[in-house]
Amino acid sequence: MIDLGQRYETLLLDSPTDGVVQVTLNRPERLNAMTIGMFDELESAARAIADDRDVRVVILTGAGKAFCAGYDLDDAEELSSLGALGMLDRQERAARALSAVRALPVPVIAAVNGPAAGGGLSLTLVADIRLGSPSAKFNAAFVRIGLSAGDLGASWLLPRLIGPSAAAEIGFTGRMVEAEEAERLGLLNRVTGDDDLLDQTLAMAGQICANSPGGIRISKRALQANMEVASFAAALELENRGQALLTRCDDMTEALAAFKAKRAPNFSGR
Amino acid sequence: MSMGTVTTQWNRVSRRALTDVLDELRTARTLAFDDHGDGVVVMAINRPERANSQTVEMFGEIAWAATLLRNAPLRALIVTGAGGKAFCTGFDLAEVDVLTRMSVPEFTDLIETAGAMSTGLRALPYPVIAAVSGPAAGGGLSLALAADVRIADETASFSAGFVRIGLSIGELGTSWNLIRLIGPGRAAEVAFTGRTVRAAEAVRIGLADRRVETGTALDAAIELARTIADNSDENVRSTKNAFVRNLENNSYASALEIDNRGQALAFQQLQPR
Repeated sequence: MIDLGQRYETLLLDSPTDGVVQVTLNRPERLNAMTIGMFDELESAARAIADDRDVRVVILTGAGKAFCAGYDLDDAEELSSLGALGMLDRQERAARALSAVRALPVPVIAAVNGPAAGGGLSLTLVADIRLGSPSAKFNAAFVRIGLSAGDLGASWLLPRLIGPSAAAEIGFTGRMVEAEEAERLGLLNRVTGDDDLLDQTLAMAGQICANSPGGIRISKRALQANMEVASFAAALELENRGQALLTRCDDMTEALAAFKAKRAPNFSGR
Repeated sequence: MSMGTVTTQWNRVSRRALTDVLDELRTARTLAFDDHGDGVVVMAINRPERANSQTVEMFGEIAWAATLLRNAPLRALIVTGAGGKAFCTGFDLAEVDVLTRMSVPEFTDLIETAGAMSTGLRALPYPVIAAVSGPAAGGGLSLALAADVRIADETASFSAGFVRIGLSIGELGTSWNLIRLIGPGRAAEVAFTGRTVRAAEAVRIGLADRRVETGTALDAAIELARTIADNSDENVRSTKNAFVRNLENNSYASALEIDNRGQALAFQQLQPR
């Protein structure tokens, strides 16, 4: 099991229930804005979680009122003193952190508790599922500070999530998208009540944990890979191999035995 | 002698008389076929006593039917569930343990045949409309997704139950289709939870295209098929093929080229020779 006692300066890790790890961005006094230290910690936390077979679902949220305000502008001040290649190095370190989150083998649910701006928006996009409280809001603030919405995967993920037209508008105006609109666009799967964002997120995590671990894992990889694969035939081939693998695992047999005995299955994930 | 007659004389591969094809299709044990005239045929999943669930035999029959239908001079195919209580509830759980007893080569044979359901329906040179009333679950969801258009009545529901029985959403083209139809966020939620999406939500998120009153999905599908049949069959065929191909085409320039040639051909047809 992952060491939840591991000290992070910018993150809080805990396990609200069996099989679920909650990663909380923990710089509430700075609206959980991202620093180079946070990127490094996010990457190493994601790698540790990925190595832990007992983790079934990861929840990503922010401490206090914000989800994440994007790159900390105080930290950004030194950026202009970096050379072009120095800056590229910074950018790649940040991208590595978000890629590590996207590479997690288990579902990642972003519980968006407040504003998610700039890199904070990008971070919600690497999650598989996004739930938001009514105070969740999003903006691609990049263009307001002389940067582009092509940051940390946002230009790739956003059009695929909400379509090219809505993505263009949000990317070019940098305007705020409130929770209700975000749900309508598909940026949020659901808007929760004011006080039950984490409860609803945990309930969904519970629903996922009741399913077979292998089935979920292969499902996640199939969805990710087949979004990137243009060929339907190649997508089918990948699916066929995954399904063949799973019929060789214990969980399908267990599910059928449970079905016949009219009881809940007890999945081992082997 | 008209060109049409010549074609009927020599081309026994791409075109057969509809009555001839229907006679052969009606030897199916798990599917039923109804000719509604004007080139509109309904294919019903026909195991109503088992909620129209799928069996190994049915996978084989759907793949075989899709191949035969490719040769039929139809204007639209409608896929539905016999009895109207269930569209198709996926693999019959009473029979599903056969999957765990199969060898890997046997399973690969089966799943490639089952996959031919999706590829076969997509390859038909005319639109396929799913008329969904009652549940479309697991492999039944995959079947609904293989259609070009989905019409849902109030009782329709959709679920990807694969993960509940130790399998994954990666089956019969579902992962590829679902993510393109409803986006990666909603696809992930539906796939990971296995939860049921009811008709109203299905239409809101694009999983179904139209919601109609209980018991009228098939009628609405037939009406839509007739509306489509009012247009030129060549142009509808060219449109379907452009959608299907360009959904798999990464190159915008190549997609444009396909569109351009299609339009040029369509204009050629309009010119008297």
